[in-house]
Amino acid sequence: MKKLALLVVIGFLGISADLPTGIQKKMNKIIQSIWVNEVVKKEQINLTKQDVYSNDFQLHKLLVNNKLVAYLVISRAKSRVDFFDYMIIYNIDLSIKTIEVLAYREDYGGEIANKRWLKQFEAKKNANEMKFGNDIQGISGATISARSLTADVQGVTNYLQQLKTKGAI
Amino acid sequence: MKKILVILILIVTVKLTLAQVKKADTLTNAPMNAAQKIVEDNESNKVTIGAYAQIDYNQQFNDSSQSNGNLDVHRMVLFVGYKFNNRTHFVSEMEMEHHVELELEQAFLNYQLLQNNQYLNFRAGLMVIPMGIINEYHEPLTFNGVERPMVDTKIVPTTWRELGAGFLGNMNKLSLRYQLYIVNGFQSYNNDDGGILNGSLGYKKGRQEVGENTISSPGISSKIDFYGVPGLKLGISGYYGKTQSTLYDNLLNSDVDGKATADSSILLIGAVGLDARYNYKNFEARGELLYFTNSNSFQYNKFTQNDIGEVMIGYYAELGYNVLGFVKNTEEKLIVFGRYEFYDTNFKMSGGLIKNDLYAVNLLTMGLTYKVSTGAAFKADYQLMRNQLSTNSFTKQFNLGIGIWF
Repeated sequence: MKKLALLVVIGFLGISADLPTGIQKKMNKIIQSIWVNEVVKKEQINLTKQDVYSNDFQLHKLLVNNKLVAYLVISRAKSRVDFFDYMIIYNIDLSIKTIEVLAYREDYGGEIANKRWLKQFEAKKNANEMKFGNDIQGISGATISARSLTADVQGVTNYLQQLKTKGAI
Repeated sequence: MKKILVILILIVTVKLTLAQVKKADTLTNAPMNAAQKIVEDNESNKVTIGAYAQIDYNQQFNDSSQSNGNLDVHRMVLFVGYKFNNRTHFVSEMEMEHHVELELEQAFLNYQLLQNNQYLNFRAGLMVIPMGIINEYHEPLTFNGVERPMVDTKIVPTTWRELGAGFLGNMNKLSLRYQLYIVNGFQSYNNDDGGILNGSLGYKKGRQEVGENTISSPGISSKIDFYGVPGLKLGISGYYGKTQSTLYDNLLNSDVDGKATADSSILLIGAVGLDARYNYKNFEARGELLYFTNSNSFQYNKFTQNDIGEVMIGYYAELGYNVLGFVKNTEEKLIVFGRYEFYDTNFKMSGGLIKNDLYAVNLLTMGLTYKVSTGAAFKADYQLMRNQLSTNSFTKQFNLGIGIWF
């Protein structure tokens, strides 16, 4: 049994290590800035391969004192010629707590990493409250990335709700 | 054995139910995304292919004369991007204009100097000059009207592109995007055509073909955009540089007269552009102001017998409203818009040269943009144009067109 626990722990480490250290550091910093002076434990929810939202998708539980405080999603969306990585923190009721862009690689469209723009998603719970151009104002000159991020957040939100309905989370 | 069977069946059932959960969402397959991914597998994600095209029908009306309509595959541009690694990508745009000329619009290499960080990129190659709105974002789905605003044609000769190199990046904490490049400049004189910048076409003929550019002195191009308020983008652009002339070729240092002649064949261009774009729900607005100075214009005009202004200006303001905004579950947009423009390539003349009022133009455009998808639109508009020489009569033009972008 102990061995199994050890394996599980190593498993978590292994999966987290998929992300470049720079991105991980940034992610941890953001999490720590929300739960100041608390020890936040990240626990990946393992999804079977065909159930996972996309190849670049990760879903974690965030625990403080072993109590679930939020869900953390790492996802990837497309800019004009490249992909960017970003994270969403969901409250337990699956409303969005915060979104941050972790790595943006292209020269155009980087405006979407702007905090004030991303704030528009906060507290939203359903994909239909995130209509691009209506609920979420676009950014001139960064339309492709803004639209792409919005679509991905909508997709992930729907997906999490489905998981919740099925009792998987 | 039975137990194993039951367990197997259980596993299969669970798997099936979970499979239904998986990514049933179609939103991620929105046209803009799906079209950009040519092939789904990871290897091919390195290549991006795209295109934009504009096909127009223009019909002029005059009170005194008849005009034929004009049908035109105005431009068809192929976009090819290649991602070498997470920090390096190449972007190219090849344009077929009026179906005859084949031209490169962009071809540059972009390198992210700090990994996973947008602060600092290095770019080199053939790139568009960030001046105003349209020159940098010239795809037909990004603007209303069949044709690009005249200000962005007559004052900024869209697509104005130059060979050069420089830095760009986003400072998201400050909500700022910056660009700073050293670039080649317009050609103002060549041995075949003489002086090629004038009041009628502005800088248009001075855009150098991509091959074998002349360069004697580089210019500086920069732009700063502020995007700290959702829906709003404000930009300030600057350009400073001398034009290029073939008369400097093989010029002996001792040839004082030759140098004086060559010096009369160039302009020193200083330009400032201000632009604003604002979207709020179904409402959109944008405006632009361009101010170009051509130092040495008196000498240049005297030498070349041309008539370019010492100062050229242009501005426009546009309002639009999406009347389909209240229809739920549609990505279609029907934008009703109006735009007022003014430009003058002879705004100020130097050395007592007489201003030609023909080059001072007021233009009103009213029309519809029907975006049936984020990447495809039908457009129709009606234009009233008048220069300051014609006292009462407007030139009227009706335009129909399609624009696509993927």
